Amino acid sequence: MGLSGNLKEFNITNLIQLNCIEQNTAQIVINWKGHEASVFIFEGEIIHARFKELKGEEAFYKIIQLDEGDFSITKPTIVPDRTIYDSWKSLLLEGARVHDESERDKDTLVRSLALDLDQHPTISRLLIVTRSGECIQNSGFDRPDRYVALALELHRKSEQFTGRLSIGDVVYTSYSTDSERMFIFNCDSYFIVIEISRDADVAPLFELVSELKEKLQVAELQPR
Amino acid sequence: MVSFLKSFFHKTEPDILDSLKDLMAIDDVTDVCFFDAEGNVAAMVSKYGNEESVFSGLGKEVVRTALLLDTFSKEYGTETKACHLEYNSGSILLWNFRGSFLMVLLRDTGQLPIVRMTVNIFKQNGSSSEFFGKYFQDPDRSIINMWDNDRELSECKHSIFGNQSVEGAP
Repeated sequence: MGLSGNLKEFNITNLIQLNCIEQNTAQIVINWKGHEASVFIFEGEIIHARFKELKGEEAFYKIIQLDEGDFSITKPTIVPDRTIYDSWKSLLLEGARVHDESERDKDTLVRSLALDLDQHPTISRLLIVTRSGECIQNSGFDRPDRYVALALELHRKSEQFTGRLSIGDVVYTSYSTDSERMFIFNCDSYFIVIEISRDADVAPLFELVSELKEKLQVAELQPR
Repeated sequence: MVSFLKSFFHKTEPDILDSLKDLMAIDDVTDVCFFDAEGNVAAMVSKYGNEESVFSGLGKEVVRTALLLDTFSKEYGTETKACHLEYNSGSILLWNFRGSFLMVLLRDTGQLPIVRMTVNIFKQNGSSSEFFGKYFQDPDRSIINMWDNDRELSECKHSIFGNQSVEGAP
């Protein structure tokens, strides 16, 4: 048994569920932004999880929220001390609840961070979109649905370019018209669409988005 | 530099070499590729030895992206000037030259203003050249018509505009 890939293509919950149903003994190791996360399954039961400084259920609920990162599934050579005692079914159910709650908290955080962005004089219009296409903040766009669809489509194409050329991850995509510049920032699990005047200085904008990204990352890494 | 360029261009034409030497002389520029209106590689050069096949696989997506932006902008009474994508360690820039598409790859973003300025000069000079003549003479409309039957582009437009009829949409 051995499987590897990226969580962009495989859902972590499905990977865990499959190994539990099959009553496997397996170790799932994920590399998420330089941090290692592990889930140990012993004869179909989840017995231990580790993520950063977290262990046990706390780590497990963080891990099942990951939606990217290289992973590998191997047979463990050493069985770790048990830190998780609930059944895998109840763990996954609780995990789904924690995940929904976490998403709502993140949306709230992003909305509040967006207020700072929106007040910046450089920015004429602002849109915040989840990766599934849900618009959670709109400031100034008459037909946000169109811009949401365009943002998703442009990002998809940008990923095709970088993937084909093997040149890393997309930070942002932008296009300029006669008078405006539109930026689509790839920001954690959101796209931030920002319109500025074509002649405006972009440096303050990049700083603001960078701060927002950092705050989001800190919030994501904090234990709940 | 010119001899270096000649060794990499697959379709060497004096016009394009003359026009491009300033662009390729910029340190941060690593690759330049021209696509025709159908997304075929018309000419390319790579300081990193990227093969034509790398870019030919991107051609159709490049044109779709450009036409999508073109349609979107026109819907709002503007015109797309350029598209820019930044990744971890560099940038990709894309220009629609009214029928041919220029893609420039940079390994850093520090020299972006120089690249933009050089491309603008190149655009002005190149438009009268023999090389671009055959592409430039196609008015926008005919390029869009050429792509009218492209299913993926139609789906992209549909996802944005729904059932509403837009300029250039089938």
